[in-house]
Amino acid sequence: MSDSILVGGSLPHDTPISEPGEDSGLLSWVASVDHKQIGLLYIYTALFFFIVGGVEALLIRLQLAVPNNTLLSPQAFNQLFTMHGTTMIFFVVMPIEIGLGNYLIPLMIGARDMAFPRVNAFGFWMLLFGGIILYYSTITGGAPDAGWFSYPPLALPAYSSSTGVDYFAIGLLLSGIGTVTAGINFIVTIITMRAPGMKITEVPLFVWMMFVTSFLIVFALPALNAALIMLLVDRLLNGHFFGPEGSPVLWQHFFWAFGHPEVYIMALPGFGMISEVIPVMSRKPIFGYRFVYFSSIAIGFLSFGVWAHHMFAVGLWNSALIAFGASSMLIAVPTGVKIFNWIATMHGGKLRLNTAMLFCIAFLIQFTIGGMSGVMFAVVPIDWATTDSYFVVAHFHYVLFGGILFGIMAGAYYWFPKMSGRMLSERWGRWNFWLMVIGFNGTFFVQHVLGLIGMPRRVASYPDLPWWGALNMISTVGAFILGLSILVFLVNVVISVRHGAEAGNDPWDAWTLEWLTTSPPPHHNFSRVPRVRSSRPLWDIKNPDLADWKVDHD
Amino acid sequence: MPAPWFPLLASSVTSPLDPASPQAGQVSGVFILTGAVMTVILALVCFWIGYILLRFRGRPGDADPTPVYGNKKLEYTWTFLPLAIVTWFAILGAQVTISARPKTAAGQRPDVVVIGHQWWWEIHYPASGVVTANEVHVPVGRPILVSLQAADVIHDFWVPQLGPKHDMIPGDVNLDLNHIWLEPREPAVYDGACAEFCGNSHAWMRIRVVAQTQADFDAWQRTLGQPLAAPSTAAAEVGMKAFETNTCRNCHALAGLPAATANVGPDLTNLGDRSTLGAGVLPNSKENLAKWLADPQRYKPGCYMPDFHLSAADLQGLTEYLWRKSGEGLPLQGAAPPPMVPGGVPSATPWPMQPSGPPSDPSPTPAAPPSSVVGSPAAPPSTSPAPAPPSAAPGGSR
Repeated sequence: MSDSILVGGSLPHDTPISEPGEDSGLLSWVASVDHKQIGLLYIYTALFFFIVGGVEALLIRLQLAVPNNTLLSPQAFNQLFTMHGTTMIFFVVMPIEIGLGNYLIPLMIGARDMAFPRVNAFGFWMLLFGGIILYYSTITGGAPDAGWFSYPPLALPAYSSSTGVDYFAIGLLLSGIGTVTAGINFIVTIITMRAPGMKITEVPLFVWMMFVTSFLIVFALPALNAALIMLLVDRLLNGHFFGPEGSPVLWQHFFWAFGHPEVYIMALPGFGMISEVIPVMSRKPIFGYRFVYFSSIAIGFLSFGVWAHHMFAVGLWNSALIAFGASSMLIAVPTGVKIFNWIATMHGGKLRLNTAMLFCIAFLIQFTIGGMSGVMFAVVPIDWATTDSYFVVAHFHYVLFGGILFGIMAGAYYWFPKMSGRMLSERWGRWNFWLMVIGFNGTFFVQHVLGLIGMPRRVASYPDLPWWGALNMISTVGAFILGLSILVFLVNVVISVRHGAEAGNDPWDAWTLEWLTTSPPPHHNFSRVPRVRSSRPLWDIKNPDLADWKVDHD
Repeated sequence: MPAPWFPLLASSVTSPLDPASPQAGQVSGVFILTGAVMTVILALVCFWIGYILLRFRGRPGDADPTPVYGNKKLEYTWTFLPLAIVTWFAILGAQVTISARPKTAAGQRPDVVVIGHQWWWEIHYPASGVVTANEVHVPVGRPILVSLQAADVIHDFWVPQLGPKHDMIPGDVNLDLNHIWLEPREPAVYDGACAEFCGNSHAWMRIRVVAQTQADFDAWQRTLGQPLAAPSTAAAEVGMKAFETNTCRNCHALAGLPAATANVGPDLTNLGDRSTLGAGVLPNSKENLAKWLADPQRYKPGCYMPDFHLSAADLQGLTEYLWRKSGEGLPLQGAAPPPMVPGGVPSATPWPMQPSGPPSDPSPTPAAPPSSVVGSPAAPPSTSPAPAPPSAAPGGSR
C-alpha cells in the first residue's frame, strides 16, 4: 500500500514508553506497561483462577453426586459455591476478556499501546491483589460463605461471623477499582488512538463490543463498589444499611443495578470474539455490521433497566414486576438480532470447520438455549416458579459457560497464533471441543430438569426424591468430562507453544489490522499501518478491486 | 459407612409443572406455552445452522465467496418479529402476574402466618391462636392467605405444586407485598423447601403443606388448641424434668408447660403428629426422635440445637415426653392452664375455629400463641432473640 503511515498517536515512532529494561526479562512481569504483556498477565491470572474455580466446581459436583451425601460439611460447601461464583465472574471471565481486550484492541485499531499504559498496569495489579485478598480469607478462618451476591442479613456478622465476607468485600472493591480504570482506558484508547482513516463506525466488532462493555463497566461497577463499602460499614462499624432495621432489599437493588449490566459486561466481549471469528471462518464479511453494533448499544442501555428481574420473588409491587418483566423481554430483541446476523454470516459462506469455528457454532446453539430460558424468566410467574431452583443454575451456565466461555475458547484458538507465533494443535483441539460440548451439556442440561422437579439451588445436600439422585449423578459425570476437556486445552497450549506449527503473520487469511504485524507482534506493534477506509482493511489490501470501501453496502 | 442422613419424602413429587392448585395451574400453563414457542424457535435456529453445515462447507483452495454485507429487510424482519413475540409474552406475563397472586383486600388478615427461621418454619393461625412448626395444615376448598415473614435472614417459601415461591424478608411484614395464596385442589401432602440460600442448613429447611378437608382441619386445630397434660408415666416424668433442666424451653414452646413459650426453635406441641423431624431431615418416629436428641448435629450439621449429652434415662424420658400424638396424648389432669399471653386469643375473625368442640373435649379454650406476633399483620416480625452466630453453634466447625 502506498498510503501507509507512521503510527503512535502523538508520539514519534521511537519514543520509549517504558524505562529501559522494563520490557524484557523477569523484571518485565512486574514493571512492564506494554499492553501486550499486561494483557498476558491478565490472561495468566484468569487461567490460574479458572483452574481454582474449576476445582471448586468439581468439589461441588462431587458433594451433590448422590443424595444425602456427607463428603463435605455444609459450611465447606457454602464456601465452595460462594468462591466458585465469585472467582469465575470477577477473576476469570472479566480478567480474561479485559486481558484479550488489552492485547488486541491497540493491535486492531493500529495503535502502539493503550492510551494510559501506567493506569493499565495499575488496573491489572489491583485485580491481582483483589484476588489474592479474596483467597487470603481461606487462611484467616474461612472463605466467604454468603453466596456471590452476599445477601444481607446473611452476610452480616450476626449470621456470617468469620471474616470471609470482609475479605470478599475488600477483594472485590480493589479489583472493581482496577476494572473501572481498565474501562476508562479502553474508552479513551478507542476514541483517540485509532489508525488514520479508521472511523469509529469502522472498528472491528470486537473493539465495538469492548467499547460498549467499557461504558457498562464505568457506570455499573461504581454501584457495586459503593454498596461494598456500605456492607463493610455494616460489618465493621456496626452500620445499619442492610439489616432488618435498615433494608435487606436495598442491598439487592444496589447489587443487581451492578449485577445485570455485569452480565453484559461479560457477554459483550464474547459476542465480539464470535463476531471476529465467524466472518473469517465463513469467508464472508459480517452480515449487518451496523445492526450488530447498534444492537450492542441497545443492549448497553437496556441492561441498566432490567435489574429487578433478579428480584421478582422478593415482593415488589405488581407495577414494578410488570415493567421489569417487559424491559427484560426487550433485551432479547437486540440479542436475537445478533444471533441471526451471525448465522446469516455463515449462510452462503465457505465454512472452515476448524476448532475456533466449531466453538462458535456450539456457542450459537448453547447461547440460544440460555437466551430462550432467559426470555421465559422475564415472564414474572415463570420466574416465581423457577428462580432459585436448578433451572436458573442451568440457565445462567448456558449463558456464561455455553455462551461466553465457548466464545472465549473460539477466541483462544483464533488469536493464540498471534500471541505465541504458533498454531494450537487441531487434533488436540477436536478432543478439547467435543469433550467440552459433551461435558458442558451433560452437566447443565439435566439441571433444567432438576429445577423443574423442585430442586432448590445452593443446597449442600438433598433428599432422595425420584430422579434427583440419577440426574445429579449425570451432572457430576458431565462436570468431570468438562474438567477433562479443560485439561486437554491446557495440554494443547503447553505442547503447541513449543512445538506448534509456525503461524506466520496471518494464518487465517483474516481482515483486521492485528494480522498485519508479526506473530507475536514487536514491542511497538507496527511501524506503519495502511490508511484505513473500511472495517476490513486487510481485505481491501488483498482484494483491491473488491475493496469494501468501493462497495455500496448498508 | 452408611450416610447418617436418611432418605426421605421419597414418594413425593415437587414439580411446578405438576400443579395442584389454580395458582400453580396458571403458572405451569404459561410455562408450557412460552416453552413451546421457545422450543420451536430454537428448533428453527438449529435447523438453519444444520442446513448451513451441510450446504456451505468450504474446501481448501476454494475462492472466497462474493461479499454480502447485509439485508435491511431481513434485519427488520428479525427485529420486529421477535419484538412481537416478546410483547405477547410480556402481556401474558402481566396477566398471570396479577391473577396468580391476587391482591389482598383492604384490612384483610392472613389465615396463616409463616415465619422463616434458620432452619425451620414457625407457623401461626391468627384466628385460632394455634401455633405449630414445619408443616402447614390448610383446609381445601378456598384460597388461604399466607403472610410470609422472617425472623433472622431472608428465606423463601416454595411449595412447587401449589404455586409461586416468595421471599420472606426480615423486618418486612407488609402483607400486601409479602403474601401468597394456598389453594390446594385435593386433600394431600405437598412438599417444598426454602429456596433462598439462608446459611448452613439451608438444604434441610424443607416444608410440607398438609391439605385437609375442612372437618379434618378443624379437628387438627382443636387437638393443637388443647393444652397437654402433665406427664402420667414415670418415664415421661423424667422427660419433663430433663426438658426443664436442660434449657430446652429457652428455645422451644410446649403447650401445657407455661414457662415454655420461646420461639427460637420449633414449637413441640403434638410433635408426634408431624411427619418429619428437623424440617425434613428424618422421618418422624420415636426411634428417630431419640436419635435426633442424642446428636442433632449429626443429622443437621450447623443447626442451632446443641448436643446435650443426655443420659440414657433422660433420653428415653424426653422422647416419651415429647413424642406425643393428638388423641393418644396423655389425659388432662386438673384445670387447663391460663393463656400464656395476656389477652389470650387475638380478636378472632370467624375463621376457622368453631367454638363448639366435640363433646369429649373438656376445654374448648385454645392455647394462646407464644409469640406476640400472632394475629396482627402490622405487628413487627417474630421478635425472637437473634440466635447465636453460627460459629458459636456446637458442631459449627465440623
